[in-house]
Amino acid sequence: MSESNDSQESLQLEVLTPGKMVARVSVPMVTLPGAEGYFGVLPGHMHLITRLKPGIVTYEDGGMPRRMAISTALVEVAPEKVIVLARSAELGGDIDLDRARASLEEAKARIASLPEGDEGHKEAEAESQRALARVQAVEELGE
Amino acid sequence: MPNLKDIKRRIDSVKNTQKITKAMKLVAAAKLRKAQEAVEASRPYSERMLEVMKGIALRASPEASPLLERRQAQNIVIVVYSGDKGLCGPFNSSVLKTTQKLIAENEGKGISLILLGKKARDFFKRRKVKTLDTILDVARHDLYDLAEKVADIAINAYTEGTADAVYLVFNKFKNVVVQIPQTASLLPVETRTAEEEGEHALADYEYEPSAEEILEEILRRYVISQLHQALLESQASENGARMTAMDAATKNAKEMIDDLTLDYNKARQAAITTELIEVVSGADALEG
Repeated sequence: MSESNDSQESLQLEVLTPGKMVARVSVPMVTLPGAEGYFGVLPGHMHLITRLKPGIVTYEDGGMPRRMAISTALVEVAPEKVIVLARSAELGGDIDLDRARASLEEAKARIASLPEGDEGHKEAEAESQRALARVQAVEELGE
Repeated sequence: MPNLKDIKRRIDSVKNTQKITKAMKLVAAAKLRKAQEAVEASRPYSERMLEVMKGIALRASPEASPLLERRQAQNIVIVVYSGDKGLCGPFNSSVLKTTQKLIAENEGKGISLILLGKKARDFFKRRKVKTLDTILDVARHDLYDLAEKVADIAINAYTEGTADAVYLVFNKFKNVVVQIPQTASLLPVETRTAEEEGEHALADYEYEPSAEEILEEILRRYVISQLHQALLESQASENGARMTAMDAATKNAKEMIDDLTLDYNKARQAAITTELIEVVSGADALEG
């Protein structure tokens, strides 16, 4: 990492899905749902490429806190930018809470009905994680 | 002398056909607009995916992943994107022709196909080519899920060694009138172009959980993204081709109606003239 990055104050955050560019903003900091738990990224962070779990991306856009629910994703972190490549991503305000809750319930029911190790069981678990992230993104934003 | 009633009936039937082609053109135009928007909307993702993939693959050795490894091509897989419906000009035939050319160029090698669309299925049903999978009703699928499915079949064949190269044949959308059938190489994944040869990224990267696992996942997603982008292009091409074809059909129908109307008027004139002559000569006969 070069020294010149220490003076930097913001990060370019991009969240992209195959369907559209969900966000492209300059942020002072971003929190990401890593495979081993949430982690924060500040400007000047070392280069990193890793996987993200379905969860919530948190950042500030012009002083406004934003929460975004994402599905499984890959992220490339560089000193000046963070690029999230996700299957799907939704900003808190765009999420239909009732629908998210319904799919969470449905996924939970499926987990209970299927034996562990079953292909469908795994899928249902991933689905419930996604739904939970969406529900949380809305609820925590409301508080 | 053609019968007046017959001509009228033909005019009506052509008019009905024209109504249908006109409606199809409008539907295709609406779908085309959506499809073009979808192509545009997915571009940033696939461009970034390419950058991230190149970034990591440039630093990795070709042995780091089986998907980067170049092999003598003994067996090849060809993914063919056709449509489910006709009435769209050269859209289907050009893709099928390009595929056949590719098959001919690879004579002597083992060839298997992954077919999308009824047109490709019908075409290759009569020819003895092995198919790995056939997917119909393309428009009813979520295109990303479909791309994922095709990618996994191709990647499996490549890692198992039943395929040494995977190609994709599809229509690239240029504009409403022009769609270009294209052959793209999917596997092994191309990581560098000639001018990038010798370039080295200096930054030290960290990978979690490991460089190999991340590389594997990025390559898979990159292949999916390529297949997805091509699916969107193909969808735009199909609707563009249909719109152009239906526009031409509507114009042809108009010409035909004009011709028939002329015939109709001539026939009517002729009938009137004949009647007049009959009346006049009848009157003459009475007077005489």
